[in-house]
Amino acid sequence: MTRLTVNVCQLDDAAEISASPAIVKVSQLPEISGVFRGHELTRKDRDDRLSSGLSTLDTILSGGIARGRISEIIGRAGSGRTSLAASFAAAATRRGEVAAWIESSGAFDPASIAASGVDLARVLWASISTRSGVPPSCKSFELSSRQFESRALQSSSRDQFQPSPIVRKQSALLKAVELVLEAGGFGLVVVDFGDAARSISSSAALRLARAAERCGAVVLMIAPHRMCGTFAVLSLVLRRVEASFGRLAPGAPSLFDGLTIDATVARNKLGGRGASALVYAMTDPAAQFILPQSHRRNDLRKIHGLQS
Amino acid sequence: MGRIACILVSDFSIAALVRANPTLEGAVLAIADSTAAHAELSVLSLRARERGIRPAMTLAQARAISSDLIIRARSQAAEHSAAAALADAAESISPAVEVGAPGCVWLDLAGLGRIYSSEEEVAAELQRRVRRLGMEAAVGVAANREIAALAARCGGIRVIAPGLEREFLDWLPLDVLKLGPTESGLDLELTLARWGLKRLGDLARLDPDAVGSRLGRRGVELVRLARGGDSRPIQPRQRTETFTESIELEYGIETLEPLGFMMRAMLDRLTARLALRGLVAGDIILALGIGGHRNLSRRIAVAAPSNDARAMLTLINLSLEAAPPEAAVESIRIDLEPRAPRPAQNDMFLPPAPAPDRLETTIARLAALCGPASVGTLMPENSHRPEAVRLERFAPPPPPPVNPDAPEHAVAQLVIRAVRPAVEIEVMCSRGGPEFVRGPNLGARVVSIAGPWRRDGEWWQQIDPDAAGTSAQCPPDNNRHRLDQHELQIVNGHPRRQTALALTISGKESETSDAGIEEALARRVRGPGEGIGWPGLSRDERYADASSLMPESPPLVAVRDIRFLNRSPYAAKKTPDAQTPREGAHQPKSQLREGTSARRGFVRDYYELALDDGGVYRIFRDLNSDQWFVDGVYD
Repeated sequence: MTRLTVNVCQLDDAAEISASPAIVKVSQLPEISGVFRGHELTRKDRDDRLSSGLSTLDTILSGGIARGRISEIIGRAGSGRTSLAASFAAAATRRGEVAAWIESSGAFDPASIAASGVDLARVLWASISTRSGVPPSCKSFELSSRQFESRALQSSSRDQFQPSPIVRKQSALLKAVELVLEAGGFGLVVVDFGDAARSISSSAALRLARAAERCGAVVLMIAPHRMCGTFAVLSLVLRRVEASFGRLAPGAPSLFDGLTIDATVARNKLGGRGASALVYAMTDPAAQFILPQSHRRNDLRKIHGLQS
Repeated sequence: MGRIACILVSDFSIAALVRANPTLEGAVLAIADSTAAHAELSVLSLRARERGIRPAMTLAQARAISSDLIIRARSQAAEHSAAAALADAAESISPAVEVGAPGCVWLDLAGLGRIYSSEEEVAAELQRRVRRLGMEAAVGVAANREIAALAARCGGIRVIAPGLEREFLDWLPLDVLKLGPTESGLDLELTLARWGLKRLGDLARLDPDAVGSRLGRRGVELVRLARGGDSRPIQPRQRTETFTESIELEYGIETLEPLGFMMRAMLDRLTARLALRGLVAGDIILALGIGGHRNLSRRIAVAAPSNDARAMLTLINLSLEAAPPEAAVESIRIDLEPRAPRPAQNDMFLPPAPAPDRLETTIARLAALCGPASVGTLMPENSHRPEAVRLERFAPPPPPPVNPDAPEHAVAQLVIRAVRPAVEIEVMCSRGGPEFVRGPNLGARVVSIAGPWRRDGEWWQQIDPDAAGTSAQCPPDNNRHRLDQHELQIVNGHPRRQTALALTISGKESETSDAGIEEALARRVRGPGEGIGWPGLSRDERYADASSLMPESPPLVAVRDIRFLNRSPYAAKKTPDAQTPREGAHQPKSQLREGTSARRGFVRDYYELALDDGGVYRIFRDLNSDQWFVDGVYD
């Protein structure tokens, strides 16, 4: 500890540190801006966030999504939720972190995910969708009490109490997430519930929240609606504003440019609820000139209703 | 003078049984050749001797003394494993280890003075390590092997200081030697008792030549032993390549769960041995003995060597689930290849990463949960087909240098959610473009459209009909190969109705359903007397034969190409890579896995459609089958 203190203190002396590769390495880490004790480096309540790398989004999220917590990106298919999740994954892998992408829908498209900047070699992919059945050990994993009661009312037949395939698949998905979080070392865990998702029970959500806190990983859920209730620290609701189609010249073939997404912070325990911004997800981000004129005038940084 | 330690496990057969089955610990246990009433007991546990049971009693006699007597047969497998474990305990202290009779191991203590302060401490450490491996041992330390063994037979820890060997031997009773009959059948113990000898000191005072003339070579050796004479040095055993535990089951096990219980205990014992030697487990070699004296052996690769028995058991279970044994398992043998432990120290200045051993465990559990083909690193395949992916083993590379000054972006890359496999849809076209789309969970009007963008590929695998001329130039092997693939497709459960046979007859293509292939051939192929007969040939052979008959057919019905089409563009557009999938290749759905023999590659027109349901879809029209599919949603 003393040695680290000395090194970090030397950072102020720019003349001495320039030749030391170890100290230069220290200076490259944005988190270590001061001197920490050992236990402070692993403190859970430290305001550590994972940036998306998108300026507008990071602004309304006060720098990114919190580590060690559950965050949700909510929207229907086509709202841009996968693109934003890929942005966070790209930021995580760019920092050298290891990410996991666990899905129940089989929708992971490695080509476009890689195009968004994700280092696929650092992403552990697991899919429940290609498994025809769920192992017996997972069948009784989770069935929320409400679902159980409603099923009990529907019929008294014993087989009616068996969880539906969607519930079983979702239970297996949550089990997979827990396994990944137990392993530790993952910076980001993306959970893609697909379009046919049911809210998970409080006990399962609590278990996930505690596992995320222990692991210190960002747990990012993609779902059509809120999944974890009060256990999610952030709920980012996405809505597609428009899909841009344009032509490079009159008579030229029509091109699909991308989506304009309205991102609204519907819930944020860390502050900033209600903030919204327009985020652009383009098929070719380098070609920003194809954005609508109104968007270009706003310099892509128009933020609506940002609350402090 | 060297110093030798001897580790001795008394009643080794019993100790090996108890080690293999810890529930027998403390039981009134005896070993007999059979469970018949007249069978004689050979080895007894301490509790059995305390009850008054003695060796050579019959089973009926012993049961009369103690009704809770447990009889077991001697287990060679358990004794081999226990002997190896005992040698491991010795080798964890000294590199020079000699294995003697079962349950007896010598080790050279030379050079250990720098590590241990006294020989008593070495002996205590040896005893502790043997206890960790599930056995109780006595340790003797002396100047040579024989005296060390005699010291160990006294029980506990006994160190014979240098120069005091004769003093120790003088009072030692002759019973300790456990003298058996000589080669000539002479009972040495009885003979020495008749001579009035009770202790080794009495024997040492005799003239060796006189004893030798009466008792032979064995008598001379006894006198030399009684005098503490020097013996040969230790002959170190060869280091083992693998760590082995084996067990013979009393009855066959047919299900995985009880087998897992047995293997878990074996893995625990193996990892304890490895840990004692400062090693970790590498690859696993599992040999299962099944009925009919057959052995099934398999090698299970372990990417991250560790001593986590639970993770190893998960890997074994996965392997057994993938390829279960044909019959009940009657014996189990597990070999672990030792590896040097790999330091898993993370860089302080880099982001944390999963520990290799825990990551391996996690991947194994995920594979058990999701299926082995659904866990790993999903990568785009080097193909013109956008849906082509491959699955690689997840092994994150070292993190790249972090650039804190990485610029922020204003625009995100749009990602597509794949629809895998592509779903067939109906598209109503107007003025040459899609107007309305209808399909499963889909039915909306087209609002905006981009495309079409043509993608074609794998045309280089096409058999050029002009070059081939007629099927006479098509090698029969090729046809056969295609037919085999067609058969594979059916085996994989692909509906036959999706298969069609396309015949190019006199330059005009026509298709027929699979069920009507024979009729079509019968109707259109008029070979010299063959027709549709082909007696004695299987259906595939008939097809192959039909193609070979084509050149002899009348020109009117010359068939230039036979190919099998599939209604699914995925299956119809299989690449050679997909036809022979590489190891670990990901094939999410059956349609991706199933192949047909299309040789014309694929030609697709892709569109991006914004529908009035709010989504932007990527659809394509397969020009080979003239069908529409949706294969992704921009999200």
